[in-house]
Amino acid sequence: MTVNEETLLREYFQTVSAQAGEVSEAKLNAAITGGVRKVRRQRLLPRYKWTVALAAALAAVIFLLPFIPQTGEPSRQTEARNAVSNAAAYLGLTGTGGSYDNVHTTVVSALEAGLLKPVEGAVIEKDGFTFEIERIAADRKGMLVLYSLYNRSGEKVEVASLNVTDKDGKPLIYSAGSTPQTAGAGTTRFYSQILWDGDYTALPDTLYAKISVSDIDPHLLVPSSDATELTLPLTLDKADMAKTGKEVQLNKNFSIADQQIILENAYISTTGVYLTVDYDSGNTKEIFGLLGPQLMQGSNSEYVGYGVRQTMMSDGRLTYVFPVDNTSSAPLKLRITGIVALDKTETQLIVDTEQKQIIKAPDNRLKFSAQSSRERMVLDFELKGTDRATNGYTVMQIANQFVDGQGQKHMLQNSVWADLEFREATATGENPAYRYSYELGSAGLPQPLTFTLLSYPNAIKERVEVEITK
Amino acid sequence: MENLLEGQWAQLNEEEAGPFIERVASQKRIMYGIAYSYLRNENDALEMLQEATYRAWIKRKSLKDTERFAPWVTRILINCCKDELKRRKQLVSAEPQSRENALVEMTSDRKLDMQRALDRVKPKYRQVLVLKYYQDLTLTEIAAVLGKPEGTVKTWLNKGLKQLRAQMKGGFSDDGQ
Repeated sequence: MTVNEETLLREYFQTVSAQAGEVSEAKLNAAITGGVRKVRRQRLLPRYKWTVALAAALAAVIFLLPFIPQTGEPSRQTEARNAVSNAAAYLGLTGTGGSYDNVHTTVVSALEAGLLKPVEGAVIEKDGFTFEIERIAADRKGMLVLYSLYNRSGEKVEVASLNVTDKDGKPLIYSAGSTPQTAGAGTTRFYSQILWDGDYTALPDTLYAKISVSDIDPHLLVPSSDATELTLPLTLDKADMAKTGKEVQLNKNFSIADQQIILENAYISTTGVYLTVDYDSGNTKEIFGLLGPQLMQGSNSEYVGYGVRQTMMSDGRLTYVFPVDNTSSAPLKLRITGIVALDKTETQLIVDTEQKQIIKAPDNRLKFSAQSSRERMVLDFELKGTDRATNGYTVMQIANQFVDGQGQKHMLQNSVWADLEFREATATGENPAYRYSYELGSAGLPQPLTFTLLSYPNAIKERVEVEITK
Repeated sequence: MENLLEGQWAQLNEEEAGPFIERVASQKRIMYGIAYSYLRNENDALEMLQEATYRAWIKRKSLKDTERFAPWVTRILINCCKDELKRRKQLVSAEPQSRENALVEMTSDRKLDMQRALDRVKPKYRQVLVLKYYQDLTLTEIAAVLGKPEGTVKTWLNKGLKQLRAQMKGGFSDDGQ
């Protein structure tokens, strides 16, 4: 079952809009006046230079005022950015003015800090392509791989993301596969940041790094069968990996809405900052996730903020993976703006699908849609007020198994994710809503039906900061 | 806000730039939003806003019909973003989150899936998707922004959605269903 892409686009752009709306008026104004000033400086006559230099200096003070970090607000240090701009440019990551998205900070800073070690002789040629692994940096949690493709085919080609396997082709990456990149004629440099799927000590000594190169076809989601596969062996130095990075036992408890959250430990290393979090079993609320987790690095009220790059579940523990600045030893802290949670007594959804009636739900934001039928339950989760601005936490999920009025268990017949739509506000004044459709499998089930909520967009906002390193 | 603009402008001491800045400022949220949708980064989006202002300023004499300032400057902004994306080499990065139970992961995956799908839609189609689904412009308004016939815009919209569909195919049916 497919999702309506228009609905998904609107949903996506709403999230983007919420993020874009956070920029200050002063920054926008500075950008606009900067655009005009940029030209004017070029057109100045020499005798006006000093006058305008003074004016520009004064203006700069005014322009910079809004950028002076407020307490706890993230800011990017211009000097720090300049320091790594060469590395970023080498990696082909720089945008206008030498800036780059801080999602790339880990690899850029690792290169700048000399942590990406050259790999000798890791080169293979095939079908007009040369695949070379130039540098790697491996630690207990993952690996950065810097590689290049020399393309002599005369055509722009698609390069599927690097995969790492053992000798039998078994993937060793926690989550593999990503959108392919493209490579024109000549050399194109790439990097891949991977996480080990399991304990690094169980990794084989020799890994195999593979890329697939194929013609560009926007309709192909996987490499075509005539793709050129290029594989190179890589030898790991596990003793070195064991020594890389530092593990900090934190065991810090903090409370949000009277719920205990435990920041268990941090592994701070070349490939990232890994924070393992657990929730106290005695909590009265079921916590579905942390709201807006951010890793803050800096001091004296000047911070760089990093968003979560990836999350991992291992042994029932949730690990948040953040970018790391390998060139900085500034203190780290975790900032959370709240939790998404429900009282443990409220995680049941009880409905009467015959009467189209909600008997029990966490709140009144959930409504039965008129589109419901006896076999298909359609629920609207209405967005009110600031619901849209809760960092995208607007998703409800229920367990596939549900129970009918006689205690008989049933399974939903469809994927919840496949049947999620966004409904705009209606002319009759109804709020916008997320619409969930569930195929019940058969009509005439004994009522009521009881579902278990696996997540519910109930954001509880409460900002907390927890020190990780001093 | 207005005081700051006036203050800056007083120091620039150019009579012509005042009204120009005001006009751009009246569109700044829209322009920034579009730039942000392309680059997804505050610094880069601000730089695009600055770059678009710069290009519009030096080309201001070419705008004959001042009533069309808004679509004109929006088009310049979109071109800046497209140029920037063309120039920039997005490299392979680590994969999105696993599809475990945590809500955080699922919401993030959906967003990443859409980001990646959009990144692979042809730029000329993508600009239509942004204007329609982000800025809620009508086809007529989009045609005015892009300086293309409405029929062309409609075709690009359909092709953009088709490409997006191809990219998204199976993307959200990944929970084992």
